[in-house]
Amino acid sequence: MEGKESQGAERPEVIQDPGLQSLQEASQTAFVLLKVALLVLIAGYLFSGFFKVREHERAIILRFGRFAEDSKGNRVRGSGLQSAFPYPIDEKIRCSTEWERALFLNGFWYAMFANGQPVSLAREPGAPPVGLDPTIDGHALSGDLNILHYRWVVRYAVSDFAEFFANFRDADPRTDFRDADELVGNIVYNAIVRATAATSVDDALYKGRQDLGFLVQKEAHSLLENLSFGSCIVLRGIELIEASPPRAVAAAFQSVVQAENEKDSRIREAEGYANRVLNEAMGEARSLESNAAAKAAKILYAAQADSRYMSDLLGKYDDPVALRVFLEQLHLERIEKVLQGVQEKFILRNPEGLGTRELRIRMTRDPNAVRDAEMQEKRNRELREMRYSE
Amino acid sequence: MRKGNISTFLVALCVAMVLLVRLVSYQVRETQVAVTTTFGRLPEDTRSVESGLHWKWPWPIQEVHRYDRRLRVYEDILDEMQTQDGKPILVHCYVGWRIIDAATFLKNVGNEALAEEKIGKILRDQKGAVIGEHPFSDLVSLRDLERGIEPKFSEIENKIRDNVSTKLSDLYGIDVPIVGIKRLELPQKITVDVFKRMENERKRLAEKYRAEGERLAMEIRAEANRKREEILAEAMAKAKLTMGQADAQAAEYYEVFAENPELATFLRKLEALEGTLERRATVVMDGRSAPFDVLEDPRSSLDRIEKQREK
Repeated sequence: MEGKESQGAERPEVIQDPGLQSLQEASQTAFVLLKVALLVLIAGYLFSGFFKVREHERAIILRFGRFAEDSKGNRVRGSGLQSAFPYPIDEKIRCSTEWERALFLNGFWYAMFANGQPVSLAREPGAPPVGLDPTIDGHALSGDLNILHYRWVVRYAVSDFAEFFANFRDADPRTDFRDADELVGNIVYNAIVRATAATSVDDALYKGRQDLGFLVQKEAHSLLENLSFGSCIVLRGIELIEASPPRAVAAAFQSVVQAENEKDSRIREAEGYANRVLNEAMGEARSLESNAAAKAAKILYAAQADSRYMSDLLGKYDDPVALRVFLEQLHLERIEKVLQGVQEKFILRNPEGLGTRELRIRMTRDPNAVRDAEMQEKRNRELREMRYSE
Repeated sequence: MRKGNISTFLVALCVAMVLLVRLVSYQVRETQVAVTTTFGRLPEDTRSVESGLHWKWPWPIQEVHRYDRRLRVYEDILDEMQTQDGKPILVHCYVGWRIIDAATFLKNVGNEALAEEKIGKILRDQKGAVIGEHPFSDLVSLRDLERGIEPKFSEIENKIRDNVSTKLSDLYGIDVPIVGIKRLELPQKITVDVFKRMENERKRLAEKYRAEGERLAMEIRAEANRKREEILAEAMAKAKLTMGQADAQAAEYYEVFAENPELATFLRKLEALEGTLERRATVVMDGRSAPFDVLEDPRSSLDRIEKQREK
């Protein structure tokens, strides 16, 4: 190329063709442009080792295939400008820190038709129970050898991307393998089987669900820790979504729950009764005590008044006749007052010489008659009062 | 021209060097394990190489075989087996495996599909053998520390792993970091029996709860009644004490009555009259008693008055 062009430049007068001349100029310009482009490419290649890592990203660098550590000995680079040698010396691999996956573990559930009916039970309507078909129905075994069904979810994330990259194909952006999902899923299944096999069915379904969850987490963590590279995965949470007894015996389980509720309500009822009885008894006790206190006060005051009255009387009437007269007056006054209030009065005289006579009084015990009499009397009293007011 | 020649030569040399290096070196990534064959043959003492930059004779003398050494997960199927005490159980295992020795792997296996086939076969044998050495209670049982019963999954799984691992690593260059039981189930015909037993157990439990409720409620009621009696008895005793004290104190006041007991009695009788005769009482009185004596014989009264007057 170079040779040809210099030959052309030596004999400019020979070729006077203006077309050829302009072609020559154009090729010269093109050559300069080509040179510039080549330089740019070389510079680009040399600088291709510099790269930026965004805030939610991390990166690793493979130098001749091995992890390249930074000055502090870290294999994973943080965000910012990072430098590496150009290919093929170094290879840059980026990853996102937001990488988190959730796996739904339905392997302990029974197979269901689209309408929610379990396949095993529905196969032959009315036929004797067929049990669970292990090829389609999953189940877990509790420590007291009961069968139960579960649904769980596990969420996990990557804590050490370099270690993760070295051990799981999932980390390679060029592949779509799910080895980490499979491993984590299997480990959690394993942990659930272990934990359930040491838990009673009542704890797994009702009272001890929380403890079961803790046990599963403990087992899963220890299984993962036993792996030399297990620390690159962090389990963010394992949760029990749904737990259920087998459909075939669900009614029996329901009846136990009902019986337990009944027991509770019985006890609550009895406690209510106890509460009421005790409160009443305490009220009654208080009233007994205060009544006694009131009566005692009354007795005391009465005794005090009586004794004062008596000593006043004795002091006032030194003369026995005067005392007698006063007492007779008092007697008559009392009789008058008493007889005023009495409904029926019979005053009998028995003149001497007539001998013994007999008197018969018929006492009314008929409540209606008594009530009538009372009404009559009330009316009389009202009449009297009206007359007074007039 | 001369200068240009030197630079051209240098560039050419550079390119040639790069090509040469490319020809006699190879990279093994962190995720790989590799081995080289010479004229297609694997020399006796060949070791597999780890990640990094390595040298070799250019093709076609030496050839590089790379294997992905990252973890794979293999799952078998539910197999029915028997425990030591003869109970049937279905066990489904998973295996985490990886290629660690590329030379052995290349020699005896060659590809991953074949590897999984071999793993499956060995796992199945070992799974059955190990489960057969353990009683059913080592798999499923509530913790009973007194009798030393508890699930021994770690022991069983580790034993399977060690057995599988020994065979696989020696023969095929495969490492097995984990073997676990993914599912543990009962054969179909046994689940029917288990359902029956579960149902009976539930019935018994329901009855137990009902009886317990009855008993506890009765106990609570009886206890409440007992407490009530206690409270009332205590209150009555207190009331009696208060009254007794009041009576004793009142008796002190009544000492003055002793000066004239007849008068005291008379006054008390008057008071009693009022208290005892109720509204609905029927009173029959002698006409001679006061004040009706005036009604019957006013004269004698007047006589007595006159007599007194004279005195």
